[in-house]
Formats: sequence, structure tokens, C-alpha cells
Amino acid sequence: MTEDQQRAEFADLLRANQGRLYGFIHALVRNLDDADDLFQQSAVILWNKFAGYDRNRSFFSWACGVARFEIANFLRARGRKKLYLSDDLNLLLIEAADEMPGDEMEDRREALGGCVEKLRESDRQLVHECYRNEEDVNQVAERLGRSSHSVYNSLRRIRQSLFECIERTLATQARPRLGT
Amino acid sequence: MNPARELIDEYIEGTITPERLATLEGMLAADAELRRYFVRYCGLNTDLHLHVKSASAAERALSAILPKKPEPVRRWPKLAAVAGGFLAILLLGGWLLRPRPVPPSPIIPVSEDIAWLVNAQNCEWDDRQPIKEGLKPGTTLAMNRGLAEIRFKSGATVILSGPCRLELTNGNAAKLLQGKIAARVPESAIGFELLTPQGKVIDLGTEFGVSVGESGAADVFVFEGQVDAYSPAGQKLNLTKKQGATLAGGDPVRRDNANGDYTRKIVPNPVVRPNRWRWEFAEGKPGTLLDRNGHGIGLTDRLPGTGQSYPGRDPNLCIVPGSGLELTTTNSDINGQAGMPRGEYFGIPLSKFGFTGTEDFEIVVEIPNIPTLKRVGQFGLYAGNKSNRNIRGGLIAQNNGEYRQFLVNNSKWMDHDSGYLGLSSTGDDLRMILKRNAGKYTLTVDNQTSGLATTLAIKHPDFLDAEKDLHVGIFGANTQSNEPKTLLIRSVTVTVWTVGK
Repeated sequence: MTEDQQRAEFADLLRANQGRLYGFIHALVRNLDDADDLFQQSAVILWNKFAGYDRNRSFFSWACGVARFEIANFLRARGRKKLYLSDDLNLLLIEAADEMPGDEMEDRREALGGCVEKLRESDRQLVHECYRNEEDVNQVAERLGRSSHSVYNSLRRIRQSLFECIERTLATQARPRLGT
Repeated sequence: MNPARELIDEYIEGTITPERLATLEGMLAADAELRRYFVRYCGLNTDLHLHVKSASAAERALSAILPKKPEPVRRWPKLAAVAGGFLAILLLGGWLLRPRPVPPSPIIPVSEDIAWLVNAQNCEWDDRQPIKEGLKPGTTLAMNRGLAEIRFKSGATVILSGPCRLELTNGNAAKLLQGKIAARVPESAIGFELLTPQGKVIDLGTEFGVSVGESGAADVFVFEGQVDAYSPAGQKLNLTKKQGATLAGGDPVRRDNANGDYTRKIVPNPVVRPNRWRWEFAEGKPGTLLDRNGHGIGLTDRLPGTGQSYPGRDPNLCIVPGSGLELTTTNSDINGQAGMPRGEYFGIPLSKFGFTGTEDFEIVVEIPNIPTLKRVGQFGLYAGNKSNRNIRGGLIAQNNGEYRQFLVNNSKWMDHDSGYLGLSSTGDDLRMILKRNAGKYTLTVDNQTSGLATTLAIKHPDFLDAEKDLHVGIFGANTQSNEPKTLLIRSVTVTVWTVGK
């Protein structure tokens, strides 16, 4: 295989898995900027190690294995200001994500756009307020003259309803549905 | 609320505590289905971040390109192109832009939402009917406890107080099967109908409460405006402000002195804040009790009924800079009220820290290297408002330099309800904590030399419950000997947990 072919294969695999991989990283660090950095670092390392990748193995699970170490190093350097899940559990979560059909994450992301549009205007605005700059919910609550408790409750309700809307959308597309 | 989902929400928000995170980890480790849910729900959270980020980036880009206000952002993945590399993950190519089939529109007709859950507090929903955000006609909300606010499409809002069951009929009507609700009906929703098992209420622009008991009979009460109450046979009764009626199958019966006790507003849970004061006797504090050299010791008041012999400087107290406050015990005993004028019981009123009678509080002292007191000699902490109305505890001397932990109530003139525990020895370093938590008193001796901490509780001193202010403080007494001993008090910390808005 020429290096060009390898590069093309790597790019295809990474593209096919980018949504899940990014999602995995973000689920662990819960910050977009950190997730972006870690995705970049991981992608570079994956490419460097790609020659050793066993094509019988799931690319996603291999990639997550690499990302896991990057995340662990990163968190150690950060001094663990936030609370994070244990590494053992991360392995189980990789497994759970790996079981997802390849493009389910993308289908979900696409369905989300439609579901956000179906939200009530006030709910959509609240989502924008709270998710825009990863702003502290307490600050948003203060600006809106609400208690942060009540804003958190609203966000939980909205996320839950978006989740159900996505499930419905996927069901109508005859995708495998998550049992609840 | 499903407990696992609540934990996942806290995890995503970053509000989770280490203990709750450990619970979540345990649940996830044990449940593959929950892990599948977790991955997808976190994925939703990630996508929501990306969605909002790309949408606002697109808005900004478009507002620069287009002279007029852009159309609302629709399909966000396409607009990611306009957002122009908002994510560094585009590094390896524009795979976000890969063409995807447009999802077909849903074929199943979905009945429209007629009401929305807009607020909830301490709710426990009946599990058979998990609560959703948008509510369809025919939904029954079944709540075991807590408060929930529902907004109908018409604009009418209803607050449910658990336990409560409410069936949603349409965008401006519902049936109360059981429990209590308060409804607020703006002009847009006049005509709002609330059915009960034995009659109904039609609103004419108002705020009213309805309560349905086990028998199915309903009580109605009008806070503002007016309503018409109907029997099942259609007999009408008009009610106005502060009027009430009962609907029990027959004609509506007007009630004088109807009960107007309904929750009409969901008030956020109070915030409890520790108001803490720590004093290490590093310097004299003017305006407080004086030691033998005339230095203020930081504590302001003696337990009323004690220490009248020391109107000015107290020969038994001495601040030792860099070390703490030395207290030399005197021959006194609260049990029997012996020698009270020379007794050493000094502290501070809790009202200085925001105490009004209901708040929880604690006082903590550090006493290193405890001396040997003669048998029944004692030192420790008290809370109360008089020499003969208090609870006190600490260490009481046994033989041979050994101590037991004790806690005892004192009312009228004698001790009662005493409890004993544990053993400490001369030379140990101690922290003592007298605490009222959820209204109940405990005394903890944290022996830093042995590493053992023991907490003692006794019969609740209900004679202190109604007091609007209490004193807390420190005492030391050689109760049945004339052999004074000197204790060093390194620090004192007083905390009152005040309740904010």
C-alpha cells in the first residue's frame, strides 16, 4: 500500500468515526475547547500509529483506546478541577459506543436539528443562552431573574424532550431504537 | 424523576458531587442498558453544544454578509460550511458536509401538545406515567409528592400539590381526579374548565383552588375574580373573591370559612448558608469579656446566671499570644447550681450570627494536651440561655487521669437525661463539637491523639426549642474539689446555618 493509499484509508476511517470519537471525548471532558484539542492530538497520534492498526479490529475502539490515554494525561496536567469518571468505566463506555451502528451518531445529530426547531421559542432561547459560550448556568439564571435550580430543571426537561424527539425521528426512519 | 437520569444530568452539568459520581459509576458499571443510554444522552449534549455553536457562528457570518436580518437558521449541518471551520476537527476534511439523505417527514400523525410542564420542585411522579415536557390530550399526571406547574395552550396555569392526579382534556380543560391544584387563568383563557368527579368549575377570569378528597367530593375556593361551579345536573353557583363551595354530586353547596390553603406559586428552595466565625485568641478584642490582663477574649457574654463575681477582669482567663486562651477551672457545678457566681461559663449569643430560633448551629473548640482534673471535674461546651436552662457536654473526670465523654440536659436546677461514652486520657489533644442538626443536639469528641471520634446524643432538650436566641460557649469546673486546673483553648468556631431566599 502506498502512503497515499494509507492516507486515504485513514481519512475515510476517521471520517466515518469522527462523530462518535468526538462525542466520546466530549462526554468525558465536557468542554468543547478541551475536546477539540484532544481530538486533534489524538488524530495526529492515530495517524502516526496507523501502520500498526489491525484491520480486523474496530477502528473506533482502537481510536478510543488511544484517545483515552491522551485524556488521562490531559486531566492529570489539569489537576482535576472537575470530577471525572474512572478509567475502568471509560472502557465499558467505549464498548457501549462501539456497539452503536456506524452512522447512528450522525443520524442523531441530524435529527437534533429538526427537534430543536420543534421546541417552543422560549425553550430554544434558553438552550442558546446556556449552550452558547458554555456560560455558567448561574450567570444565565441571574440574567433571566430565575433561580439556577429552575434553569437546571428546564434544561433537563428540554434535553429529555429532545432525546425523545430524536428517538421518535429515528424510529420513523426505521433505525434500531434504544429500548428504555 | 428516574434517579440514574438525574445523576447523568448532574454529571453533564458539572454539579455532581464526588459521592453522587461514585453512585453513578456503580450504576453504569452494573447496567449495560444504562451505558447505552448514557452514551447517547451525552452524545445529545455534545451535539447540542455543536449545534448552538454552529448556529450562532452562522448567524454572525450571515449578518456580516447580508444587509438585512437573516432568516432563522434551519438545517444546521449545511450551515456549518458558512460557519467556516468553527471546529478544528475539520482538519482532515469537510466530513461534516458529506451529503446525507434528507430524512423523510414523519408519517405517523402526532397529536398536538396541549400543555407543558414548566416548573417542578421535589416531585415524585408515579412511575407508570413518566412525565414528558409536551403533554397530549388524555395524559394523566400522577404525582406522589412535590409541586408541579403546568401551562395549558390557552395560557392557563395550574399548580399541582402532590399527591395529585390530573387528567388533561384539551388546551383549556382538565379533570382533577384527586388532590389539590391552584389555577391561574389570564384573559386569554377565560372559560377554562376544571372537571371534578362530582361537578365542574368554569372560570370567568380568575385565580382559584380546587381540592378533591378520597370521596371524590371537591372543595372550591376563589382567590381573585369569579368562577361558576356546576353540579353534574348542571345546577350553577357563582363564586367570587374568598368564597368557597363543595361539589359532592348534588347542587353546589356554598361554604363559609372555606379553606383557602393552596400552593399558588412555586418558590425556589431556600439556600442554606453557613455563617461561620472562628477565633484563635491571637490578639485582644475590645468590647468583649476581659482576661486577667484586661485583654478582650473575643467572646462577649457569660451564660446568664453565671460568673457574676467577674464584672471586670477575670483572674481565671488569660490570653497567651501565639497559643490560645488559658482557662483555669473554678469550683462550681451547674448540677445543683452550686457556686454559679464564680462559675466559668462564657461564650456568645447565636443571634450575632443570624440565629432567630430555628436555624441549626454548632460550636467547635480545640483543646490540646488536656490536664488531669479531680474526679467529676469537667469541661466542655454548652448551649442554652440560663445557668438552669441548657444542654452541656464534654469530658468528665474519672479516676487516674481518665475521662468519659458526657452530654446532659439541665432545667430548673438539676441535671437529667445524662449520657456517657468513650474514654480519653490526660495529655490527649481534642476537638469538641456541640451541634444542633435538623433540630437535634449531639456532642462529638474528636480525639486527635487516639484518632477516635465519638458522637453522643441524649433525650432532646425540648425546653430549648421555643427560644429565639441561645448562647453557646465553653465551660470548665472542678466540681467537687478545690483543685483548679488550667486548660488551653486553641480556637473556638461558631457556625449558624442561616436560611437565605
